[in-house]
Amino acid sequence: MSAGQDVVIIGVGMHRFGRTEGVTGREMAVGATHAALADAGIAWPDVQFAYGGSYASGDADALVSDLGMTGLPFVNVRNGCGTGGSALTAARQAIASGAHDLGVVVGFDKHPRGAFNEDPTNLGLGEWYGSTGLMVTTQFFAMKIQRYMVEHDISPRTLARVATKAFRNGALNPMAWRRTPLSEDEVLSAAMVNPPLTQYMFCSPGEGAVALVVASAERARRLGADTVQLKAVELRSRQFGSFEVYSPWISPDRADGPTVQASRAVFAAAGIGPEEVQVAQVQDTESGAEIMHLAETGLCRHGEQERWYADGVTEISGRLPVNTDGGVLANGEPIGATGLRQVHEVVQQLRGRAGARQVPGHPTVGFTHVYGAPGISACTVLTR
Amino acid sequence: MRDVALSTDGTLWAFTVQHFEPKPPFRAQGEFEPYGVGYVDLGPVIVETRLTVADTSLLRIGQPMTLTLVPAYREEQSTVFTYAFAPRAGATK
Repeated sequence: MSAGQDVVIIGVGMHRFGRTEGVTGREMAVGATHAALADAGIAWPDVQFAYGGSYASGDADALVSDLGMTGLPFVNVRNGCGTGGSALTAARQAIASGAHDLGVVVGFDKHPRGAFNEDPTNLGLGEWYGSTGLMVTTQFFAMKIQRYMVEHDISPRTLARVATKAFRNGALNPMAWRRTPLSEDEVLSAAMVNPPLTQYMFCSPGEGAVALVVASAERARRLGADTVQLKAVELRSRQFGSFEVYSPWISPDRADGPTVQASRAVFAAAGIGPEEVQVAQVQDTESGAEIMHLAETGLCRHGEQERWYADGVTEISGRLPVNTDGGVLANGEPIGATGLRQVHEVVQQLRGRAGARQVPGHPTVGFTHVYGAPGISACTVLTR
Repeated sequence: MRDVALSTDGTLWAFTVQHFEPKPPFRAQGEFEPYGVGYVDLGPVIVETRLTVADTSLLRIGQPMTLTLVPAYREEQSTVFTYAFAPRAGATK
């Protein structure tokens, strides 16, 4: 095997998102992996390496007890909401380098009810930050979108439109959690969580698992597999001066965040421009995040979102369908799995296997963007 | 590393209200009351802070703010305070 191999995805599998009583995160991961292996037409003993991650459901590498103890190298990944993207980055490098030609990437989680909480000392922050009530992710998203709305003339109704789209798409997705459409007024008049964001504009921590089978193009050819090309993956952490989750202070001279850096890098690596993207997943931790991330990734210009959501540009039937499976808003946020759910959905869209959610016109270029604390982002470009 | 003395006055850069009681490590103080959270621009740095106001209709970006203390939680027989910013009294709106 030589270096510089093209990397393709030959199988995807998923356990439904949302609350499933009596099934552990591990069991979801095993189910998703089996589904991905079956989709790829291979068996676990064929798998040469794996990368996997979970925040709350244990060590991914311990899954070999259920999948098969073949002795393969299985690396645990832990990058918050970016875990899936990080795992896929590492897997891609393993194949592109020529070290391996067939591997699995798995992400899974089963979070308890209620908001995320984190020990500030895990992130190198003082204990006081948590005990005095500033270690809350929703505060960051609320304040970031507050300023964005003022700077770029985005209305609250646009925040509501992101949510209604999410639940409308979720209704078409049998694997989603929130599958009941809501009206814009129901979203706007719901209980305020962190102004300007109401309850229905926020995702909830949730449950789910996704697995992908990745291969070199050459191995995929020998297997006769149905492939989607993982054209590029780029992962970035925050630079000094960027405004990210859990920031006790901000520099007056601000730098571009990891979303801007990762997306710019992935389009350059893929040799594709954002204007060529035909189906996208952008991190919609809350409504505002989808809006801001559309511009930060270069998919639209800052401020354009107001017109886009009024005109339905990001609907399944629109010019740039975004979060066609309902995104994080409708699927919930099992942080180990989200980055891979995004890829799973775009792969199915490019294969024409998205069922009732299928984007018409045979899309051939897809994009995913995941973002997480304390300021990391991973983006992919997928082509068919 | 060196210490830099910051002004006790700044302008409100962004704000929100915490409407639900956070899980631990937040240390509650009896019955939960929503509290304001914001960022205040002090010039060389913009600091995240509690606010003395929990009503967004009383706050605006660019509002003059001044440093104060608010009770955070009780520890044994005493109250632990944390820093916060309050709308600056007498400042023109």
